Amino acid sequence: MSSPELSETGLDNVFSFIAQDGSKRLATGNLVPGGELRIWDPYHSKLAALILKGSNIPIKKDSLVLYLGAANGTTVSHVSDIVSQGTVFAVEFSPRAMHDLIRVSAPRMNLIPILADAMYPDSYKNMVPEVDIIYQDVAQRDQAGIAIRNSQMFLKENGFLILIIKAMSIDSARKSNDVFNSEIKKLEGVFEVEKIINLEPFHSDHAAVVARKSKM
Amino acid sequence: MQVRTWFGIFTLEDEVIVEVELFQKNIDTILNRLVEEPLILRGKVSGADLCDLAMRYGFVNSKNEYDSLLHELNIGLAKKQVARAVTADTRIIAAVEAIDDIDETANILAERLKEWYILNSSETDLKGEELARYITGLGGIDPEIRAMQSFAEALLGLYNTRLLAEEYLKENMPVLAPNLTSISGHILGARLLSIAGSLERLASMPSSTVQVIGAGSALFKHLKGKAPSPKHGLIFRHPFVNTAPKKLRGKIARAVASKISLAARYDYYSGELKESLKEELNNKVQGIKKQHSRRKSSG
Repeated sequence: MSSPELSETGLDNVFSFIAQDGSKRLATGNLVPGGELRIWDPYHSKLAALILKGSNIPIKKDSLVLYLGAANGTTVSHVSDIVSQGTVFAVEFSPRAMHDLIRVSAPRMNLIPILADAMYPDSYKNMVPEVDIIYQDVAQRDQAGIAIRNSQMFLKENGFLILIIKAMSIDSARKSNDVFNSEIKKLEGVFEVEKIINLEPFHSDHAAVVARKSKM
Repeated sequence: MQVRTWFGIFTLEDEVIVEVELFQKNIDTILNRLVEEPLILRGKVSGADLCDLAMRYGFVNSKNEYDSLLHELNIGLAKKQVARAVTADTRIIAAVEAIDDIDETANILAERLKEWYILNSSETDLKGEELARYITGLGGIDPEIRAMQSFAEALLGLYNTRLLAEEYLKENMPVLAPNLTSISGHILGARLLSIAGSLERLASMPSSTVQVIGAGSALFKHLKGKAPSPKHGLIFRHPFVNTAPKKLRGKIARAVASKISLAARYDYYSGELKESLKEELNNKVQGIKKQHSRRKSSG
């Protein structure tokens, strides 16, 4: 089998190619020495879906990223590939998920696992510096509130928030679009919302918001 | 003013560093300290970056060494915290989830074994464990029979594992949750813990939630306004609920849930067995049944 032709995506260390079924796919260069390109599945990763939907995301190779809701570390590992000269601070609450995340972090010097609840940023403020970007994908209720509190504590002025809103974790009875709108409304004042992207068909009932922290 | 960082303590006067006490460069001792207090891992002291200070005062020789020590420290801390999160209830939950998986798997395997066995032999009324035991006892060197016997042995192994796991629950549920176990039995009690996530969370749930946990899809249908509220979730498996006449099930489920919820609270907050709980539940359920039959005879 011949390897497919890679194209640049405009994102550091992220490439796209056309798969055998004709669909566009993503891959990142593996930061772990000896590793090759790693396929980045948009059906498993919301960030990959966001990129495939044509959104330019503001993560650079030297970015400091605070990643809230790191789970088992799949998407986080790709972010770690992108920020080859930066650092990802990966906050995850579940000890079971952290177990896997620790294994992912061990060979990646730029990936820092933190077992903590993103609801309480005070509990990890001794470990996280001011960052360029906050990426948030948590399955908790007060998603906008968590983004605001973390941004106030850690995000530099003009820094970016990439917020994945999971409608089902906020209210399973209301329509997804209503939930998206009411969460986005809460961001106003603290952020200037630049983009709102529905993650269909990769993830149903999920939207991504890209926003910039307003001047105080 | 003192600033306590992961590699040492800085004393400041008017924002200027006047004294530095470096720690020993030993990850384990620093880790133990870090578990006790939130030493600063990243940030600035008196306007200077921590990494620069660590180099200036000779704690490390290079930025590389600094980053690598700090990485190791964060991973060590996360490992310690993960280990600490394994408690008596997470062990109970692992055991009961193993039992549920074994039940599901053993059923599939038992059916498969029977399908296979009746291809070759006459009909049999034996099934499950009995059939597996019978097949392992068959003589013969026919490769098909041998394969079937090995299959049967694996199945018997699963049944045995289930017994061991249940024994573990029987012994440990009364230690973790004496009241919950006395009201709901060790298996149902452990299943409730499994869905709630921990004893703490079960204890903090309102009893109306306890009544319907395990009935997730029915509950969401109800919340969307498409169905009546579910009467019971997991607690349907409680003998008081599943033996109750259909009309009374909702009422009895509510009584059982409220006692389970109380029991979990006693267990979480005091940990001691309150003998009267079980009797109170008995009386309450008898009361509901009596009231119903009285109404029936008068109506």
